Amino acid sequence: MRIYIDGEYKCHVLSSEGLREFDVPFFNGKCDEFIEGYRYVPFGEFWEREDGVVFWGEMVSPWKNYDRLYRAQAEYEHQLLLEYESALTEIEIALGVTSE
Amino acid sequence: MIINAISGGGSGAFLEVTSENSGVVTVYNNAVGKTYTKTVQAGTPVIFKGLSTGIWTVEISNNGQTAAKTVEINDDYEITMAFFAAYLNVTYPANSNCTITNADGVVVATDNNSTASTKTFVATVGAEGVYTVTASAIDGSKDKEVNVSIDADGQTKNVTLSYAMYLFKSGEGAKIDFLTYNDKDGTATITVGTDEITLYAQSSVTGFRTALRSKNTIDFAQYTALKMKCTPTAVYTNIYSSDWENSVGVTATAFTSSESTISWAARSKITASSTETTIVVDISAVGTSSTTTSSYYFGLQLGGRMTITEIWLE
Repeated sequence: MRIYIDGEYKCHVLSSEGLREFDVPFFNGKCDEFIEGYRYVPFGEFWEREDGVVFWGEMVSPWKNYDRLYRAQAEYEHQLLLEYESALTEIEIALGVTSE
Repeated sequence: MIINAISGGGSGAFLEVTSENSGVVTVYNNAVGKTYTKTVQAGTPVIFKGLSTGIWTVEISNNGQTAAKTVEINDDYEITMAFFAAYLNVTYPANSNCTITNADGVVVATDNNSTASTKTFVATVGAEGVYTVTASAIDGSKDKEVNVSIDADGQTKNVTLSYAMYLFKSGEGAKIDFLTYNDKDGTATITVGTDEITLYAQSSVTGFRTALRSKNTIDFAQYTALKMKCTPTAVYTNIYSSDWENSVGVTATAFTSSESTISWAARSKITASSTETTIVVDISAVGTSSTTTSSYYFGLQLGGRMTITEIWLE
């Protein structure tokens, strides 16, 4: 998944001036809200938290409350499932197939 | 505070000081050995007379707030000053004392907590700089300190201190219950001993991997970092799945084998090193003291060879 990080290693889903692009498989299948609640530190780089603790990459960690991101991703996947089921139903109707 | 230098008649100059806040004003010139002090009320100027030309320092203080300026007295001039105040929101452990010192080691705030719960208090600091916030257990058994930098008036910084929680410590062994997962073909094994945890893959053939997980969920809410002291002498490349990434961190689900696709909440990759290293994972946004929708476990997955001497949370 292509993501973009800013000067604080926070992730963005859209490119913008000053952002760096990375391909991070960890975010495959994740919704935008989930991705943008994370921080990605590439290998060989480090991020220093405001309390002085240093984190070397490669690291992915949430900077927004993870419960919130977890719920956003679950809702996203639920909506996808509904869309797939709806599309499947339409196909079945078109084919004259009845689900038992 | 506004400072106006007024050229007066006779010997010396007049210095008029006006402050937006009440306080005590001290004017001194160490070169001539003179110091003058006056109490100032908000909006009411005070005048210092007979000041010789030269460099003078003007200080004002009130309830822990301070401000200082160096001025050159010769003719009329103006200087505007303001009190500096920034705030530290400090949360520290139960049954502990908390002390805040500035870069010179001067204590600027203290607080005490004799309860069985964490406590939060707000400390006001009167200058830019680096402050050390220290929590010490009342029984003297442990302490924790962090540094926080203040660089602007009105700034607020949140500081959370917690004592380390060991999951594994060399010489003491596992401090929690772990579940270990060897490779299904037995070509990679993991052993939890008293002095170290050993992960060993027979060869670099991909697919030989091991995994380690806390048996029970862990309350990560009071901790901000997961640390693991280890020597990963060999780390093999995964070609099967992006979720097997030779990593350590916090998982949102209880995986059940070395081949599980792990749902990481936060993780750092393990890379080969011939010397001991400490891997640090930011978990400051993982876990909550309120109702959670997911459970959290310590997790590790590796295709390679590594010894671990310590795993702990701070």
